[in-house]
Order: sequence, then C-alpha cells, then structure tokens
Amino acid sequence: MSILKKPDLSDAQLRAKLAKGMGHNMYGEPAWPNDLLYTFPVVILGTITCCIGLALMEPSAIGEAANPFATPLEILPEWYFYPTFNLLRVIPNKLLGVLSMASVPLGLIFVPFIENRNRYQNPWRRPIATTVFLVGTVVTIWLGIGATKSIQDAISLGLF
Amino acid sequence: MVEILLSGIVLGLIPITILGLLMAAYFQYQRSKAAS
Repeated sequence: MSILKKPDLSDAQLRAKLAKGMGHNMYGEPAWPNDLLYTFPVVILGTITCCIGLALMEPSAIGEAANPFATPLEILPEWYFYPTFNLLRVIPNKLLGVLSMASVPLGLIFVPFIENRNRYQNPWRRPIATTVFLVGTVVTIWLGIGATKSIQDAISLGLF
Repeated sequence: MVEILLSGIVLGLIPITILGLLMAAYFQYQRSKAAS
C-alpha cells in the first residue's frame, strides 16, 4: 500500500459514476506499480524457480512398466490425491468410501450457502465459513500426510 | 514415492497463502471498522 490514489471528488465524472455505484477503479490502490511491478515478478520468478528446482533436483524418471495383473504392495498416487486416497483405504466399506469421495465436492458446494444470511465477504466477518475452511484445510493436510504412512498410522500419524 | 522438494513446496505454500489471505482480510476488516 505504498501508493494510494485518493478519490478526486471535484471530478464531476467520478461523482456521477459514484452516484451510480460505479467508478471504484478510479481511486485506491493502483495496479501499477504496486501489483504489476512489485508482486507479479516475484510470483512469476518464484514459480519458475520451483519448476526448475524440481526438474533439476528431483527429475521424474521413467519407472517400471505397469502390470495390471500384479498390483504392487505399496501404492501411492500423485500428491494431490493423497487425502482422498487415504480416505478410500481407511474406510473399510467400498460404498462408504465412494460416498465419502463424492461428499467432498458436495460439502464444498454448500459452504457459501450455510452462511448466506451474512452480507459480508471478509473472512473475519464470516466466522462459520472461515471455520469450515480452516478445519477442512487442516483435515485435508492431516489425511494427506497419513496417506504416506503405513495403514496403521494412516489416521493417527503415529502420534497417538 | 514421496518427493521431498515437492512436499516442501506444497506444505510451505499452503500456510503462507492462508496467512496472507487472513492478514490482508484483517487489515481491510480494521479499516472498515474504523470507517464506520
């Protein structure tokens, strides 16, 4: 917030726009240089650095050819599937497991609606949605870490 | 197979992103409270 443009209320055009509930892009924090110069290059260079770092220091080799008739003892999907994978292998009933997978997007769809009497967008003014988001994030990370452990430590992570 | 670098990127970006969201939102929350 280094450079903030104050609304010029002597400008008749701005006043006319504000009266219609518009013109909020004519004052406030400008995109240049705050975002375009100071934030975007950091994000772009950081992303490129992460990709090059992964490619150089952890190159993904071509593994053994898959054999559909011999499933390996230890299997692990891509990292973004860890939480659902853990859910599937921990829940003994197959139907319940599939239902639990389906309930993840269904539950996410309902999050905006459980607090729809609230007219604010700020997370500090939406306690229920924010709590659901933070608890969901923690549970997802917990389940994801559990997927990398043996089935005995899948839920407890070996902590208890 | 767990890739250490990838896990570090993922597990590091999640908290820093949420912290940034909550801090930016808190500053706006303070500002709107002072304005009203």
